[in-house]
Amino acid sequence: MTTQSAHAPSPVLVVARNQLRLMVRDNRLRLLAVAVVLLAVASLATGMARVQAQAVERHAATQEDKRLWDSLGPVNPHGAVHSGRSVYAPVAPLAAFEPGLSDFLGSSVKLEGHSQNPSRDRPMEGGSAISRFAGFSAAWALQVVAPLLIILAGFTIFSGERARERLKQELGSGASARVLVFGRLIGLTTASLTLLGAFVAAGILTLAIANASMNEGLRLLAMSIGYGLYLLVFCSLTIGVSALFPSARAALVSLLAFWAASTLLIPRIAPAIAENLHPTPSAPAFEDAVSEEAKNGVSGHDPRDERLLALKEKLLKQYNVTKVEDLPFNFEGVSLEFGEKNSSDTYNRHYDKLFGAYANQTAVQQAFSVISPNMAMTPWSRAFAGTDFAAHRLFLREAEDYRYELVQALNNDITRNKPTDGGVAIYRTDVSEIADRVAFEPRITTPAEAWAAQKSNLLILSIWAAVSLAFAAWAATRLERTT
Amino acid sequence: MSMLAAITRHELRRSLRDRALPWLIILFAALAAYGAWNGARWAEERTDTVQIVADEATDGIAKKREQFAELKPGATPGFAGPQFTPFRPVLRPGVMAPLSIGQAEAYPYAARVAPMGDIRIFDAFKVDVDNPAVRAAGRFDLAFVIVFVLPLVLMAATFDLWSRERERGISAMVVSQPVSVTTLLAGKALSRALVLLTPIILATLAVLYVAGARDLAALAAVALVVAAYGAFWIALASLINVFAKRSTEAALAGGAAWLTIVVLAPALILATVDIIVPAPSALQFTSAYQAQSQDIRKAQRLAREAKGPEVIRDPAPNIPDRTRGFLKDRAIEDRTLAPLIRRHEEALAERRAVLNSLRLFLPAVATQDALDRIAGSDADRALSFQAQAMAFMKVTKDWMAERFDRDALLTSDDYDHIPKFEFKEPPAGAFQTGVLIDLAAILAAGLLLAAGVALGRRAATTI
Amino acid sequence: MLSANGLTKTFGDFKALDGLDLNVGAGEIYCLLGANGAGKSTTIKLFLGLLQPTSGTAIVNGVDVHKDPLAARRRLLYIPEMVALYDELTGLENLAYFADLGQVADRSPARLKACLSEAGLQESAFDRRVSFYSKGMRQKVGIALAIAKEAKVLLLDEPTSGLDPQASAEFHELLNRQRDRGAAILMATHDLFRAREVGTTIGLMRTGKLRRVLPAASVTAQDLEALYLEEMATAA
Repeated sequence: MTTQSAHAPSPVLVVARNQLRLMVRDNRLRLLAVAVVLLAVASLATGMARVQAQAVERHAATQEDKRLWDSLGPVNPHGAVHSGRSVYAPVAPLAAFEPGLSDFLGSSVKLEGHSQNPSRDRPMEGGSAISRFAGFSAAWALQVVAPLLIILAGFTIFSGERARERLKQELGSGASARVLVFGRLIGLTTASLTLLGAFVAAGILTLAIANASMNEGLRLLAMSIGYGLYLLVFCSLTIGVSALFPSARAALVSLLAFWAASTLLIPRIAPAIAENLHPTPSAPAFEDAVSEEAKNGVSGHDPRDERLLALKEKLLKQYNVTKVEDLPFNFEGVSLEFGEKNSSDTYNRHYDKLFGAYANQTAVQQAFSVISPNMAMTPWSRAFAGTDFAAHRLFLREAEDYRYELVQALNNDITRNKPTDGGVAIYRTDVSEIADRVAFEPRITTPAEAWAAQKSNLLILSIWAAVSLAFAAWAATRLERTT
Repeated sequence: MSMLAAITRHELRRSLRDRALPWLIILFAALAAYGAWNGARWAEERTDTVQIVADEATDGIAKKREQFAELKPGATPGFAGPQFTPFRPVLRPGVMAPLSIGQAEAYPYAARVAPMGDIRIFDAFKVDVDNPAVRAAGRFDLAFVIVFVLPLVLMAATFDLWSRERERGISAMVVSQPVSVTTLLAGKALSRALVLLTPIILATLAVLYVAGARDLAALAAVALVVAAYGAFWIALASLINVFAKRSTEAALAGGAAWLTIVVLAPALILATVDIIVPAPSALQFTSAYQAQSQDIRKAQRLAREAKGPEVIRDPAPNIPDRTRGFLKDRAIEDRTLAPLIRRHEEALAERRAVLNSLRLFLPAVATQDALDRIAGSDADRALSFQAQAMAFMKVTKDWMAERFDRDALLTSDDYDHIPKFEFKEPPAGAFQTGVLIDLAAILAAGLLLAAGVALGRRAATTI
Repeated sequence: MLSANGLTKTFGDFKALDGLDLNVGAGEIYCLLGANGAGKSTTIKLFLGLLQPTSGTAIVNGVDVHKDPLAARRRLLYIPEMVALYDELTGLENLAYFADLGQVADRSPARLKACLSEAGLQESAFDRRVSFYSKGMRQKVGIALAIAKEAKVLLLDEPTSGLDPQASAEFHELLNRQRDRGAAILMATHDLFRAREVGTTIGLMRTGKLRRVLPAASVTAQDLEALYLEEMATAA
């Protein structure tokens, strides 16, 4: 029985160091790891190019939109309202690392009167069969490929004939199964976190090239904390399963089955089930419902025309006149403002309901994180990258606030400019001056907002990590007994 | 030949005793059933949505008939001007839609055609209010199960085709017999193909039939595609087993092959194409279109105003001259904008051509493409619809212009004889050229692998 | 029946076999002795046609193995160190398969059963899955194949390693019967004692060369051991 001197390193670290050495010397593994990092770097580079191009495109479109609006010249404000404007979604720099939903989110919103349009011009439009294969990114590599690499690197640590023979020798030389298991786990985790570090370094480099702010760096850090926990889960599970199964084949099959289910199948099945449970209407049906309600009120028996009439009566009484022409302002404008408020309120109600359905769908998907850590990892990653629906919803809200303010400003201009000639000539004004008074400054969700929305997912990842570590510990006790 | 038969028979016997195989097939069948069900549900929803749009036209015309009924005698039915006639060309999902959702959500499925309108007839149908998170996850349809999951199932069943015997030492016994290695591997591949692909193809056809996709020719095409794709993967497993001496090595190689062929190669090639032949900017096109259109309309408005107030003829025509003026203005606008539109469409077409050609080198993409075409959810069908809808719009414009010339408003009966849109499906349906090309590409890839097996056979005999 | 003429095999710079000349006639058991890496397995693989000779020829039953390996294997049986069979099949099913591969003329169940019996396998084991067989039982299936094939040439690689003394003795009894039938047997082995007992000729190999060839009857077991150690100790 060997005795430890005062300067001998702890046995767990000895095992860990040995494990790292074995992994570094494994040519195939090194090759695979390097290949994965290179692929991720390639995807980062192409992603960055794409993000830059999108930013340039949207900036140009914004400038052009302003030029068009300004070149309208003197027009009737309500005509301008129908002519409309477009606003463009801000581009998240970290979309190069984690594209999230960006291909499926509209890049622009058409702002016009009486409408709250969904966003349009989604990058995924107009594709071909190969378009279904898009989606490889650095984040995806961390979510799907890195766990696979961990499994391939680790499944023979304790399972297989050679490993079991070696294990007998190691136990025979005085190490306990617990020391071996945790030592190997530390080794495997260190290697995985090094891989993660390579990704993060590449991410920081791309951010630096894009002159991104410290904010983006903080986000990347937050993302990597999540990824660290996520990879720890797979390391622990791999070591645990390897310790549990003497047969290398059985260990590999079980781990691959878990990997395929949790990273490939469940991320596709969960949203489909969520949609089944909380369906959303089609765009035409949504439009129909909104028009119907705008016209007839929420109850269906409260026609807008009647409400407008009631408003007219009220105003006539208030100003003590008998004809709208005698009101001290342009009732046409009031009518337009009323109509706009009515339709906006209706749209807001319907969109809130729609987004409520989305939230329910999200909750269903989160429930699946019980069987797949990926379902907690992905939303966390996307939220901090600014490529999730919350970020997009922020843009939509800001676009709508801007639209409402602009449209009502234009309508209000009509209200305040009562025709002096009895309405013969069409009233025209410089709408660009009115528009200049209303600003549109879109922003991306802050890290604080992302944290508030996603802390439950971090909790889930932490629980996964704790459970998988406990599993590895339990497998260690089984290992001692069965060898 | 009898040696091949003997080997195949023996391998069949072994396969039938493999307890893991039935579970793998059941797993595939379960996922396939779910995928087909999802696809059928999607097709149903799309059909309902399309019907809502089609009903807009029917309801609009019904309303006009109502207005005719309420029309006071002697009054002019101004509402019955041909320019107010609603048309809604729609693209209904194909019979085989449960098979694949494909590109059906990336292209508009309907158009709002007003004879006086501009070319932006599809804009309303390019947007939707589906949860983007659900869309981004990817649709879980039968095509997904076939393209992505089937290879995993086949790999799991065949990864140790020969490596297991090498590990166990049986290979030494076998190769010392007077049998050629190619015959041996061919027999193994053949038996695995029979044992696996037969129930898998039957399960695929069964779930499609139950989901309502019952076109016999299309089902035959699906069977061929699954057989060809399955054979490709079994050939790949055979090639891996020529070189892998241990089963775990073979499993790793199989996993790496799947990742490369199904995930990485298509994604990276797509990303590269995006850089070399980027999609023409939709935003730029919309801005340019808007700008030019605005300029044209402004100029036309100013010209109209310069002419002074409208002089109405006596007796007043049924269709106001103002309206005829708008038609002329629109025609000029369309003509002026045509080059811009053409340039944009040519750029889109060029990019699509590049993307389409890539599938010849990527068996997974070729399979996806074939299934999309059979299901009628491919880009070409959607584009054909767009072309037909645009042509239809021209028909309605000509119809309207002719009525303007005759100053003929519509009567209640006339609404039964307005132009009708009928979508013409591609000829040869499920066996269209695109599908045949895809099949050829998959088979070529499989043959290449088989050639690799034959060339590398010596490596299979090292004991 | 089995002959090698100047058979040489190099792997890059490494010469695994250097000008081997060897003859095994009908009814002869030739025991090839040598340490690991001496070239015994290479020799067998060359006779099986699994390796291509760098120079020289290997002849089996008058057929140049390199030119027509399939024909050479037709009257030959190879029994490796581990007679590995398909675990999920029975002994009889395994024999049937290998008989099919070996293009044995009479592959009827009756004949195959007779071969298994002759090889010493108990009848109760015929229809049991091979996963339950001992190593000795698997060896017997290997011999049964030789009987079924009427193999004129047997190539054996460490056939008795891992067998207990009784199984070992049974195995050599079977070998003798094949020898009496006129088969030419080439056996690579470490077992000096058995080689002396069973062999007709003994060849000592080292570093790819056949160092010494002598009739088995001409030495005692102790002499053979001394000769062996002497050969192994001599510098190349």
